[in-house]
Amino acid sequence: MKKSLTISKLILTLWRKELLKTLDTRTKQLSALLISLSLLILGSIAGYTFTRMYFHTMMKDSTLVFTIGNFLNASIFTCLLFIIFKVLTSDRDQLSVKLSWFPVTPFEKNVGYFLPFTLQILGINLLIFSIILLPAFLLEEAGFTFTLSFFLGLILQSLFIVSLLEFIYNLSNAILAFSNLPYGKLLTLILLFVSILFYGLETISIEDVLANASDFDYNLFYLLSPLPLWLSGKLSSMNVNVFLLFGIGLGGLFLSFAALFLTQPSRTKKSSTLFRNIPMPTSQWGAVLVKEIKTQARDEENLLSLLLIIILTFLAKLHFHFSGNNMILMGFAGLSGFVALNSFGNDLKFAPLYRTYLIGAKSISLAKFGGLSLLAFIQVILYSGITLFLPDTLSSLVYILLILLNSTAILYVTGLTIPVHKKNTQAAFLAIFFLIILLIPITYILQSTVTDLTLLPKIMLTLGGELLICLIILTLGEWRFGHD
Amino acid sequence: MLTIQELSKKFDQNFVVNQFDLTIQPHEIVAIAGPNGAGKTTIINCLLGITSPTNGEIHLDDFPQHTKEFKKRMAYVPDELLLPDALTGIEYIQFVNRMYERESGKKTEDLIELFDMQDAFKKPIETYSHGMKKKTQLIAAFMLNSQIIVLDEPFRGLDVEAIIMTKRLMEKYTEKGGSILLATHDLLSAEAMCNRVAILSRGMKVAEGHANELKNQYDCKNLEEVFMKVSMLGERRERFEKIIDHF
Repeated sequence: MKKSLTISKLILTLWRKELLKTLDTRTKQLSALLISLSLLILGSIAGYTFTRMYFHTMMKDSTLVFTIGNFLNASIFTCLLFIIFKVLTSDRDQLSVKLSWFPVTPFEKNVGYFLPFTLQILGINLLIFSIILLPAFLLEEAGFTFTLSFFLGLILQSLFIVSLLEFIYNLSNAILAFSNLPYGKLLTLILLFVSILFYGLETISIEDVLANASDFDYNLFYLLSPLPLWLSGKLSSMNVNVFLLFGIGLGGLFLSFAALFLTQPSRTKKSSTLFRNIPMPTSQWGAVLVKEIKTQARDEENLLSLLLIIILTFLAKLHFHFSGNNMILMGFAGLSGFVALNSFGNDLKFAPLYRTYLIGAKSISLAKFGGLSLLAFIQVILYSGITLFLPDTLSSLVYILLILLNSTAILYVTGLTIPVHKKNTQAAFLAIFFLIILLIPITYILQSTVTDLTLLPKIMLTLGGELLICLIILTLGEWRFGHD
Repeated sequence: MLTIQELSKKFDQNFVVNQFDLTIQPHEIVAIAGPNGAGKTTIINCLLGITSPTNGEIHLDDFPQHTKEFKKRMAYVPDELLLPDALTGIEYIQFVNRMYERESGKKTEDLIELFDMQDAFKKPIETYSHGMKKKTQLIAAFMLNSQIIVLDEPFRGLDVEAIIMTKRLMEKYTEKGGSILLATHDLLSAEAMCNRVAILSRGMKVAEGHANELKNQYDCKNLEEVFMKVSMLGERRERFEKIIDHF
């Protein structure tokens, strides 16, 4: 265990150094602090506005249903973060390769990696739920003991879910490697995703949640929800065995640790020459655009996320029986922009060379964004071709394109701010966190301003928003490619 | 002619390059040598516009460093293999051509053949060895119609045949009027190939001249001895000898 803790400490130090590399000047540190503070304050206001009424009613009528609902959300959020981070990062980073020739057992190495990974997921969960819920807890006077036990329970619930997911991931990885099947990581993630989806769909229903107010059903997605009530002395009306809860919780942790004894397979990286027949255009702008398409399309992690998104949306369409194709195509368009998140990170080493060329930093940034948008569009066409889902009307097509462009832009901006690439796990965590705390206030502002507006101001506001995004892309791009 | 005048670069209140001057004429190969951290890469980064200098001026003929005309006349082979891994070699070459607003020609094809990279160029760069990546950078630099090439440790990782070819190319390039700025730790090659050598220590130029002039001036048998003397590494040498003796 001592070696595991040394590995964890080293990983955390490396992450801290990577973060400091991103924030290497006083100006950047101050800007990051100001932006984070503003987003946190805006996020908290938005969180309070969203949850105030619901919190008030639920706390008055049924504290348990409120706790179950939030623990269920925390579990779903944990699953999403787990899958996103596994997709965005490589299982074999530079440190992992170096550790191969050190006298370290697979268990020591796996525990060393598991601890910081879990810590990050729990940290993001706690922060997000604090932003959304803590203002309501404080302003509506939920009580110190209940507040503390609620957030402690929330963290333990997330830890339990991460443990279970880690168990399934490691076990499936090892079995697939043993059976010599190709695309092990993809199959593992699909298995993980399908397990979560089917367990969730089969076992969770609103009726069950309401029925749990008297008789608890020990569902894994909100297993520890009676814990805060038990700790704050509010559990008397409910039929639940607290020792059984602890037993299942510890069982999950034990399974997770047992799976860490398994040796993780070392896979050979697959190289791709996708789009090799597209020639380099004669213009500089076109050449950067095509380079971006080729580079991002050949990225293993991007291919993996594309396949997962296709499966995810297809299953969603089948399960929820969406009558038309618009909803599913819009969802896919939003997710296809993910290809932009690691664009700058993948080009990070090469980026200084752009300054030796005869092309301006703003043009590079814009050309890259153009390439990424085109790639996202190619993905939507591919998806439509595979599933035969087509937009129902012309206006739906326009909406799909707008969603695609905006999602690509927001993810590109996130990646420019925090360079994400497969060898830098910490950046992926930070970027997702940044994205979430960015989206909470944006949703709040839009919801509180757009709803009551007439058509013309709506159009003006949309155009203004789009112009602002373009400006951010140009400014951030100039900073990154020209001066950073 | 490349002129670097009073170039300084400060990081966190420390000068990593201080008042550095250098001129390179057409037909000249000039080496900058110095211990690790002496400031060689910082000088190159300032020269290429990768970092901006704190003070000083850089011109190529009458063109200041930040102009398009300057960049058009400059080629660069980095020591760190800054390449987009996902592209194939040929795609990278096409990309560089577009960045310099030119078409691939016979010269590029000849260079690919010279470095024996015809087959490798069809595969993604991420599958290349260190030497193959260096060859790719050399092809991308020598194919341009540049006036000066900056070579940062060009021989590191190359096989013997490629080293010989690269040296021959460097000679031919300067014969035709080009200039080369070579940053290297390989003092034997620098002594054999360069018209002048500038030695750096802690960001400052401590000696400059032809290898023979420097040897006479500092009463040394070879350039390595001159280097040890002027870069102040000689002071530590006795202590190092003791450590090695007791190893």
